[in-house]
Amino acid sequence: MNALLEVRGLHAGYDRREVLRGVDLYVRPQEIVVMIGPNGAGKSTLLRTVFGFLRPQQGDVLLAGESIAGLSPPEVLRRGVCYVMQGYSILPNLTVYDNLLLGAYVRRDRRVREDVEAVLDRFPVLRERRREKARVLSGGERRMLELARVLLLSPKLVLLDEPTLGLAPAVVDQVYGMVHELRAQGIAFFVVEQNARTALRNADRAYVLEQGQVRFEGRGEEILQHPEVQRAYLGASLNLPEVPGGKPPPPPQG
Amino acid sequence: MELVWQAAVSGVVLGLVYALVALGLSLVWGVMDVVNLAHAEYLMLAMYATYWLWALGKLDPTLAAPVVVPVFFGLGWLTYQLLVRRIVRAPLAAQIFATFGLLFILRYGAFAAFGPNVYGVWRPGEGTVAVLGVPVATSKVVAAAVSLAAFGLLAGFLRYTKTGKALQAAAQNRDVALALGIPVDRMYALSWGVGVASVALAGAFLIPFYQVSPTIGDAFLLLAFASVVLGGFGRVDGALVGGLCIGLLENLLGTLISPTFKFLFVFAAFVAMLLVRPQGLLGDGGR
Amino acid sequence: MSRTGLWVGLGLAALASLPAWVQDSFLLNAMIHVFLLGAAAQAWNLVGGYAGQVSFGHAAFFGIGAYTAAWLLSRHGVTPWVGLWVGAAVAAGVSLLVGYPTFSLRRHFFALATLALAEIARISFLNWEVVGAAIGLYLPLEYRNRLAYLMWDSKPPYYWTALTVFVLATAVVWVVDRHRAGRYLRAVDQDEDAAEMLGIPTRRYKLYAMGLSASLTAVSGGVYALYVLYIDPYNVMASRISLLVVVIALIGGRGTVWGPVLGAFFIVLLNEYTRAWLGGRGAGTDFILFGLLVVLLSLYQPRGLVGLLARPLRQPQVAVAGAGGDEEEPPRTLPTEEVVLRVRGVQKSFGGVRAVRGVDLEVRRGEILGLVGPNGAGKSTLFDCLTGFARPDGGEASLGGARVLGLPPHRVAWAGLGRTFQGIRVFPDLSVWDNVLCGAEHSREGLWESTLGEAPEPLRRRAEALLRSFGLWEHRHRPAGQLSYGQQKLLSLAMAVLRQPQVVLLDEPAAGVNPVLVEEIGRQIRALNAAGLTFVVIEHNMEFVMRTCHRVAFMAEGRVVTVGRPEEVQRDPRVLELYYGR
Repeated sequence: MNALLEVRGLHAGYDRREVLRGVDLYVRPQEIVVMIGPNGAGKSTLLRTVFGFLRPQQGDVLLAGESIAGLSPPEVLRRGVCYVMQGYSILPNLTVYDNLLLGAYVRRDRRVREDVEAVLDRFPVLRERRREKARVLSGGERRMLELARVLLLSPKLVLLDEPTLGLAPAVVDQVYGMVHELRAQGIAFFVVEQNARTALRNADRAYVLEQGQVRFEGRGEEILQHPEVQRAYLGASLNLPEVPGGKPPPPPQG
Repeated sequence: MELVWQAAVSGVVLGLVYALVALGLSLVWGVMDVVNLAHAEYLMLAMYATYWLWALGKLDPTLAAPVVVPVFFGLGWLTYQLLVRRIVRAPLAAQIFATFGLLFILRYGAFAAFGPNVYGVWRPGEGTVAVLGVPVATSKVVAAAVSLAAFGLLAGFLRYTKTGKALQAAAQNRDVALALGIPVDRMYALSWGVGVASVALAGAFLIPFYQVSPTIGDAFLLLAFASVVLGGFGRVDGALVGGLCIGLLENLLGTLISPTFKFLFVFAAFVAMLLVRPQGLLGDGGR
Repeated sequence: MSRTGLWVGLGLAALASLPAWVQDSFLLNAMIHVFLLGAAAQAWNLVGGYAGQVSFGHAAFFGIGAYTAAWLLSRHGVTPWVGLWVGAAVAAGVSLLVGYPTFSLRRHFFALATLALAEIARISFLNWEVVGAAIGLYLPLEYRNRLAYLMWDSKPPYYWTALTVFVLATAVVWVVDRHRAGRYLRAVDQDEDAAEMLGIPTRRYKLYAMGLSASLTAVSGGVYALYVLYIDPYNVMASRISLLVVVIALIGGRGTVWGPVLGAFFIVLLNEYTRAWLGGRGAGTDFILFGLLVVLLSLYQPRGLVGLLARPLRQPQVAVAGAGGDEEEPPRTLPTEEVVLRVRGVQKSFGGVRAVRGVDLEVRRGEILGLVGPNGAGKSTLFDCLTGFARPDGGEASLGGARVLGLPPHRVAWAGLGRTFQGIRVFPDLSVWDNVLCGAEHSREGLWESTLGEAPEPLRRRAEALLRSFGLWEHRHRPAGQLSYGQQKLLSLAMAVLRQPQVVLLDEPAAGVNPVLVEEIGRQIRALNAAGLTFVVIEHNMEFVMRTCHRVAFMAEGRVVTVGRPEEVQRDPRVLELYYGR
């Protein structure tokens, strides 16, 4: 299996607090892999560790076979991984144009401005607002800016941390639309999502993380019916009402 | 009325100089949230450096500036690498004491090297320039003009160059900047270099009309902080607005009420601002 | 204790008898400086060491004390026995003027304000005719050799006066350190928010330390004036004095009783002798060394000389241990119908984001209410609004009938609401025992009694019982920072429940803890509940919630969506939709 990203036996946390307690997963090239799970499970911690904001306490992170554990964020970026953080990943007091320009900070070639113009052509909303400070953008527009910025670097893998938090359903679809477009161009995505159904609808594969460990791996919305998944989210498996278009719920467990 | 106008004009001129002194403090505070208590000691050292270049090397202060400023840029950079880098993420008390220790080392190093005496550059036949109808000493006007130029240059650097934008990014959100590949540590070192260089520039142009001794840091630190607090720390234009306000306040209130207690009024304004609007006139309640 | 007492007694006797067998005028002079500056450093220690508010302007108080005593004596013939205390009162007043507006801001601002104060004072006195401006004040020599005026013509009596002042200052710090006030000040220094939430009125204690500090500094300044017989802004109000006082306390070890004592001997003697030997320019070289020491201290050893000498045994990390997990669990009580905490329509927005959009909640006495929901639902923000850490935009909340919304945190605590925070918020440098006692009832504590007395006996017994049942009793003298993560969680739980508040809010009590200890924490909460405490628990660990809570409230997008028994809420289709998304 030619994994692009591989995480093996990862333990990580803050100070003496252990958040990830042995995580194994992989992402293949051009795959959209999603990680769902309740709060406090460690999803954001996982992304931060992969990208180098945290040093693993144990275990390894491999990119295209090479260990990247312990590298600093700029170094991980240079190896072809982009990270779009939770909350916002834009620079609020710089203009939209400058935000894009800085997206290409690590590039040393002369074509940067050309490429920025090309990106602005693709996203007319951004072109319209290119001179405004990024903080006036709405939630959906910010996501658009962040994903547009990714285009300037042609990474192999993009880490997305809760991209749809606080967004209206129509905007959520737009965001995932862009994700699919970018995937078609050869970029793999590892997405952490709280909005499980949307994530599962858009993902090739999904992992369920709970209490710092992977509890389940599967695909599609049907996994929400699985007792393991229900236990992770709700503390117990239960008799779910009919899910339209899915399999009938399993009989109630003990 | 004539008196008030004179006080106002010289207040503005003085205020511009204060603004330049405050610039470095505001920059460093805004970029990495470190309050440099030793800031004014660099001013004092730059003034000494310029003085000795004049006394021993016969170099006019205006010509000495291009020598002094780059050297102090290096000094700022070095201070960051040796000391500040270790305390950026440290608890507040550690930051306060580290810069406080630095103040000691610089001030008493100057004491040991230069003694307690007061020194000043003396340029015979220096005249005045009429600013809006008010005669002001040439050296002061030059200093104010240099200050304006420095602010303009820095603003331009921050707004129009790639590195300047990267510096702003590092200041706004360290994690996001790192995620974009910006070497935040280097940006911090750069801001220290620029901060110390700008206060050295102020020193080089202050020495023609202000005498230096090892302890002048106290008064200037107070003025710099008051400017930063009034204008809004972390913003380049905050230092400018704050400095102007302090200069005006000091001169106007000193003239109208009492020259003896003019610092008292500055202090009162400073405390009042802390009570009413700690983020300053231009600040937006960030830190 | 008596061993230290013996050493202290011997040391004091030796010091007191020094003038009898040493005639060296230089040494006596140096020692007088040691005592007076040491006293000032001890005074600084109260506010800069214990309370953690670093002041760079203590020279102002020193000078105020010097000038007041000198002026009253030379212009009005008032005896220093009165003049010293008038100076102390004036200094205390000025200090409160500076402290009051700045204590609620970040510590930098207080440091800057004191810097400003000292400079202002110096310049003002330099220009003020009434006190002699730049010429200064001469103390009239005709008052010498009279105890009633504290002035003499030889060094030994001054030596003993100065020693008395030093002993007085150290005694004050010792008393504060040993009793409640010292504990509270150190708590405020280490984590002000946590201290507030336990009901400690932080501003009041800081002002108290400030006033005490300023008065003691003024007294040393006054005695100094009587000794040197001539004062001007340069020798009693220079920044050199402010800085020296800080350095003495820092290098000696701030926040300790003996730190400023050690520091005074080390620093001042070194300073006096280098000044004599090197003279002139060399006078400043030892300060360069001090500066270097301070920098090194800030990076490596924050406890100064005291820290180096004490050399605490670095205990290995205490193993995670449950406490008697095989005890039988008491039967689960049935909560009553009485509503103890009523929340109506609370709203809070940050910028454009509406974090809490009108929350209604009723907490019944005797229950454990779980508060669950996805990220960004507003749960912690709700807690912040209820406990005074965030100012709500609207709504009301009442505890046992009394209004609590909008009060500052320590008053919310006094009203009967307790709280723990996400993560760990204990006081790492205080012992476990001291930590727990910070959770005492503070609403009826006076400053005087907290300085002189210890917590009442019933409270100490209850604290002991709590620590025993949490398995922390044998660690009670350890600094809390050495406990494991889970044990610190238990400790913060103990602190929150010590004074038996009407309702305890727990923010993620089981987060980040290994599964064994999660079990233990749940057990303890249920046991406390069985004994009568009401809890509201934010948690993401759903198994924990199901096992522990009587009822569960589900919050999403800033509102309470549904409340009911855990099994009911689990099955609610709205909950499923909000958890799983659309």
